[in-house]
Amino acid sequence: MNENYSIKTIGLEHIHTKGVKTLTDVNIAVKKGEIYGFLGPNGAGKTTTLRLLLGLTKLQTGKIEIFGKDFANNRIEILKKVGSLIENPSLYGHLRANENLEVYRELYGATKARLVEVLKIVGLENTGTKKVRQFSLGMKQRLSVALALLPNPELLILDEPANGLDPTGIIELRELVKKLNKEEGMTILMSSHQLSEIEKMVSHVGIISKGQIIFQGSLPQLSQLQKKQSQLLIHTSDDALAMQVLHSYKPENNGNAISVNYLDEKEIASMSRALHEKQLDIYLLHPQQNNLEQLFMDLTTQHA
Amino acid sequence: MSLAITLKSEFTKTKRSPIWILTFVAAIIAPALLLLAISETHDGGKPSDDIVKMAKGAWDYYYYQGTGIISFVFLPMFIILTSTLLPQIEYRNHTWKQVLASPQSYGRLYFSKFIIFQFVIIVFIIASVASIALSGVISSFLNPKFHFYVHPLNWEKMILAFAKAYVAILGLSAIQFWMGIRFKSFLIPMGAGVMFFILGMINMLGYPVIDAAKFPINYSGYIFLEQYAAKVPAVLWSSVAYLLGVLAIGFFDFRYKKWD
Repeated sequence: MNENYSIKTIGLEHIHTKGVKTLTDVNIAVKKGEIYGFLGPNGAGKTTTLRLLLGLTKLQTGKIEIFGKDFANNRIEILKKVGSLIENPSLYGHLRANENLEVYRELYGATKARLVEVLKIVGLENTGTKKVRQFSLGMKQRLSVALALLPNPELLILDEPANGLDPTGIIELRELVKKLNKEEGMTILMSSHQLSEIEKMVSHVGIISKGQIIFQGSLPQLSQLQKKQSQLLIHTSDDALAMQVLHSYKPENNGNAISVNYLDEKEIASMSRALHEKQLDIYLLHPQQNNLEQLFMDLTTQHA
Repeated sequence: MSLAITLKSEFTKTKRSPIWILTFVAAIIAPALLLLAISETHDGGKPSDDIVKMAKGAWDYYYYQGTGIISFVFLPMFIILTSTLLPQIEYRNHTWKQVLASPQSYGRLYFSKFIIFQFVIIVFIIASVASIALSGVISSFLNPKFHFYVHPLNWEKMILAFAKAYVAILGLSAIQFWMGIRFKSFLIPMGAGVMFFILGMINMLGYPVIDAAKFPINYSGYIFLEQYAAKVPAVLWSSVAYLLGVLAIGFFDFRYKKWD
């Protein structure tokens, strides 16, 4: 058991009742204090993984440790310190905002002052007698976030929290997540199918595709991968000769041009010099740098 | 203490829900019918037979009729409806996942929901008793020949009758509660409940196919029918046995159910 990790999953596998394997050897490691972005296209297995982490789906194969403790044997103790928002808002439409929180307040051992505080945090302190069924989707989503914050959790699990939020709401959520992480020291696991939505707030990323983790690491490590995946397109007066000149870069001829991977601009310059020394005319020298979003797309589509 | 917290949480969910409206509306229907049905005059203005029936003790007769209708029809139907409405609070609002991700055991959650269900049933019974009293008071003004205040109500007998009716519906309440929690669609528990209730009535009163004393849906009907008086103790024990058995099976099902 490693108590430095808020979440550690070992070899999670899950098979749906229809026999479809939805998770294959999923190993997630979220250290205390991280904001972990859990990314993947729709149907990749994000929600299944998060449901397993909260005990909402029965664990079939593997092990889940939260706060260094086995989840199966310490469910209630662990859940006291976990705030969650899974999929759509889970709220009682016939109750008011404060009453929705009151349903859970004592279960989490939260005070009435904390209830007022979380409503203030999400800007819903003045909804008065309005019932939740009359709320907009954005308001419901914010109330769900308030519910997740109610226990002042050590770990916050948010499944697609930006769903239903307008651009201002997304920015506010981003600021809130950063603030909670920085000021309260909350560990946050947040899923999304859009990297752009969370790349500005997460410190670590796990990418899941077709039920398998295809990348896990820090944001700088993802950027490093992004650089590795950057390509340079070259077209010269003699591409066959150019292939020989650049053979150390493992070039590929795609018909119209040669493509080679590169790490930085210095490599582009040295390739250019090498071609020039062989008297080759350079018609095209086009660096194609993936942004993170493109990289995410490439990773998930390659895997698919 | 922790059970009390879960009970409070479950009770908060019923606030402003249609359950309470249903409880109080259902509790006044039978007494309102009594008010219309038991009258000192017939339609033509002639004295009715009710004056003779009421002469031995108007309150006792009035309560006997009221509790009879309630326990035979309204109480089982109320249980069928409420057992569906209560779990629908979670299903309709998609809140099961949030509830199950909160720090409480499955046992606490399941039995708290059942206790709240029983509480609603008891409130219905108390509201029915009060409604019959109110109906009787109104009837005493409308029908002075009934002489309501000559003989006092036999409270002990009336309370005992309602207590027996309550025990008699425990088996039904456990079955309906299980179905209400089990099925996402409210049509299944409600449809099955109503269908078995009607079939049970036919079996009990008209065309017996199976021993009615083994069919828990209509047990509360035994309490007020003289011809079944001897079977009441066995029926009450049977109801308790159904309660314990079905509650245990229901909990096992709840604990291992796949929650979507």
